[in-house]
Amino acid sequence: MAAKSRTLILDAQLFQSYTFHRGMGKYSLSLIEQLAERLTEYTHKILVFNNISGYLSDDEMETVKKAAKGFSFEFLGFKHLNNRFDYKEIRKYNRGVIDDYIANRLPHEEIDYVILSLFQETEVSVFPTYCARKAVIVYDLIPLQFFDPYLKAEDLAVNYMSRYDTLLEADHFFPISQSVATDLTLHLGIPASRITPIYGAPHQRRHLVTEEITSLRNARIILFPSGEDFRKNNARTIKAFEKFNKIHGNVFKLVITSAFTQQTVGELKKLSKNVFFTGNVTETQLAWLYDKSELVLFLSYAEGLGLPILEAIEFDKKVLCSDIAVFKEINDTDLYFCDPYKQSSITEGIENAINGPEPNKVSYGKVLEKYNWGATADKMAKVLKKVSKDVFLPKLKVAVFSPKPSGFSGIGKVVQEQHYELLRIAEVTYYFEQGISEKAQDTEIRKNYLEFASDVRDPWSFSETDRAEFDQVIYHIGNGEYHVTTLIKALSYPDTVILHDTRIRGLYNVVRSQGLISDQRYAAEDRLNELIKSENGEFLVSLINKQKKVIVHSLHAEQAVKSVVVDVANAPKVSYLKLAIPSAFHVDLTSPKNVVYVAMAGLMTESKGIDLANRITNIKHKDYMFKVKIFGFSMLEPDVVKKLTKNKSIELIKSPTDTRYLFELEQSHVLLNFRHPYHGETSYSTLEGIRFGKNVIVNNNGWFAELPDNLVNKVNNIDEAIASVGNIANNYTDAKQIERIDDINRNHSIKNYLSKLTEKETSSEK
Amino acid sequence: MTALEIKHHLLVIDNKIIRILTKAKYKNLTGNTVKLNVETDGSVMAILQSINNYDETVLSQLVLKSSNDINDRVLRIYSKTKKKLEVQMRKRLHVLRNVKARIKNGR
Repeated sequence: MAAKSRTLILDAQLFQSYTFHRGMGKYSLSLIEQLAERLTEYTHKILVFNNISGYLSDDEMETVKKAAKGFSFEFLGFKHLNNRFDYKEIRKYNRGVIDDYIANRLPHEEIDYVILSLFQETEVSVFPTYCARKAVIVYDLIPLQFFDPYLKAEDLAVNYMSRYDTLLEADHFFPISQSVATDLTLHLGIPASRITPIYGAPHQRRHLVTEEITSLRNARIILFPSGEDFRKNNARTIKAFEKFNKIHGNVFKLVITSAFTQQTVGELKKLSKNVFFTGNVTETQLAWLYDKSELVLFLSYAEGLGLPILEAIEFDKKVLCSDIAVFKEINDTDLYFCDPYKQSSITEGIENAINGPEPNKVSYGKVLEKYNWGATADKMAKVLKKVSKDVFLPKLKVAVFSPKPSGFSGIGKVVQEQHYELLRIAEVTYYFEQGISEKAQDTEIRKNYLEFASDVRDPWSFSETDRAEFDQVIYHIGNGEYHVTTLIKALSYPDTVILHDTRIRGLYNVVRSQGLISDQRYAAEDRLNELIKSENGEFLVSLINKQKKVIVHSLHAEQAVKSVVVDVANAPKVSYLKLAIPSAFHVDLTSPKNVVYVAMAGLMTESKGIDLANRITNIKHKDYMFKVKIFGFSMLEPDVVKKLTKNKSIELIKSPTDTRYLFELEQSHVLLNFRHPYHGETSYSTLEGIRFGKNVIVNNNGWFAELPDNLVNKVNNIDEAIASVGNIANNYTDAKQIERIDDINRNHSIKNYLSKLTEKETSSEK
Repeated sequence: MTALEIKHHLLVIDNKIIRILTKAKYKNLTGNTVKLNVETDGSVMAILQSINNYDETVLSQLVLKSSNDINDRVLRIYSKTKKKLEVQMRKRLHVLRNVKARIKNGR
């Protein structure tokens, strides 16, 4: 059979909004310009627009046409989003529009469809129902990572999060940096094989004839390319500059570019007399500012790429930027770094940079070689040139009962991280539990994007009719208040139970206290528990014996489940699968300098050996000091917290967001997961630590003991745990970190896990 | 299935379940009234069987009519202070909106 002729369609609606003038618009334009000549294998190359936006002027349209040589233009009847609650309707409508267009105009073509920017305020970009490849450029996941403040307003949250259904439909992702690629893997569970970072480039202003801003002619300029946005860190940067400038007799001017509201300008001007707001400047003026500045500041909390840094590099300027992965990725030796959350660190950074040596031109040259539009287009073209090999199989219909992903139960997080891969093989409906207590219900430690981007229903409403609708119903069972409805439904409509905890007496207690089961039903379960003694489990008998399939994550749990099986002939199929976890696209290997950071992560309870923290900080070592960071959702009593915070070497980070949690975990050197008492349960944070190559110290029993010896350090008691911390510091190597990361990538893949979970006869892993 | 009546009796001597009697009367899917009456001794199989009957009849009936019922429950549990109440009301509104959206979507 002859190969089909291929067509590339780019959704270019972003050019029809204000985005045209912003970074994303410029980015897309430069990219298309370079792509046009590289993609010869396509018979047609088409840019699609909507036909209702009056935004794009004729002049601007000319600019687009000039850049997109070889592309034809189509204006289709896409609708805009005017009321956020209409999103689903408009998405469906727009999908109909593009489906019709392809069916009528390109019926025999193999279509590759790329969305240039998904997150526009009113434009609703969609993928057609059927095409060979669905790809999207991803600029960042910042609103998801910093949902407080970005998604605090409900309007914004709904508008932004709703688009995740289209985002997760994509089968290939083009993030603009390796860091965004890593965010895609860690926050959305997208496998690295579906991600190609394409980077970007400065806007090449070096060749421009510059235009002077006369009022700044004689000033010594520190340039701060910014914007009115939380993540730009404006106030702290100005305060830090003011402190530095005062010491130096106020000889410098801090020049801030981009448009701000009058009110913000007024507020910020109160912080220093020596700031100058340029407002929007022309390209030639901006070139003059870069050329004239002595230092460029870029102290954002987060960015997708960091174009101003590349632009400063183009002008051979010194740059002081925040100590975040995305900037270190550009160059970690010749830029000046500081902690963006600490004003003193910024002041000190400005001082060092102003007095420090000029940038190394060779090293800067290498940066510009990597970051140029030609290279960016090459990376994208390389992926598009290959014909997509994705095979579309009929999908299963699966229902999943789990704690809400925004809650403090780690299971909700696991479910959210597995969503992308599950979506590849199944149509998924979620039944999320909100929890019973107010604390459980109100907690939002991460954004539950599934609430917006997938079919979510009320767990109580699940009935026999619903049951008949699905090929498989998966119940995530743990020992707590987030599993109440799940337990009830698993008992009434048994199917597949994923057992995260082998002791679920606590759960039965909650269910009874809610009046959902009678005291007698509880007593009967207790009686069964007594009659069938299981060493590793509690209150499992009736739940397990009903199911068709039970999934466990450890041999320890497998034993617990098998020991309660009553009728062997009708026993559920019990399968041991290795707990799956997304692999990071990239991991920065760490090595301790003067301080060894010991992390204690995950749910913070006293059983996790928190009293150990004090002893660790007292370890005497010839080369290192030992500091402890405790972070996770806090279940600690106030007096324990008070005791801990007295010790200056212990940092307590209560209920961090996922972004902060991952950041802290990646920065640490040792993860201490020694628990007493420990009941043999699995620990997701241990896998997260290993995924980052960390040395993890664990108990020598239960699930921990089942982990390979080269991955974790097993100890029998507190003294051994303390000794182990010292030993790790003495034998810290990159090779061991890489070995651990590789092991997780190989043996804990989500794809394998889900394909085993959903197959008819699940086989256990060895 | 609609439960008409469920009674559950346990005979307990010395903290041990000797006998479980589940009496239930319910309408099955075809609309016929079914009576369930299971009496058991204290063996594992018997307890399990009686639990199964209980779960199938009692728990499968535990379908609250709509999300509003849950929120009513939640409201009952946590209506201690005005502030708490307001939080729940906000959630309830949210749920109502979802229900509205579901109806709109034809579910």
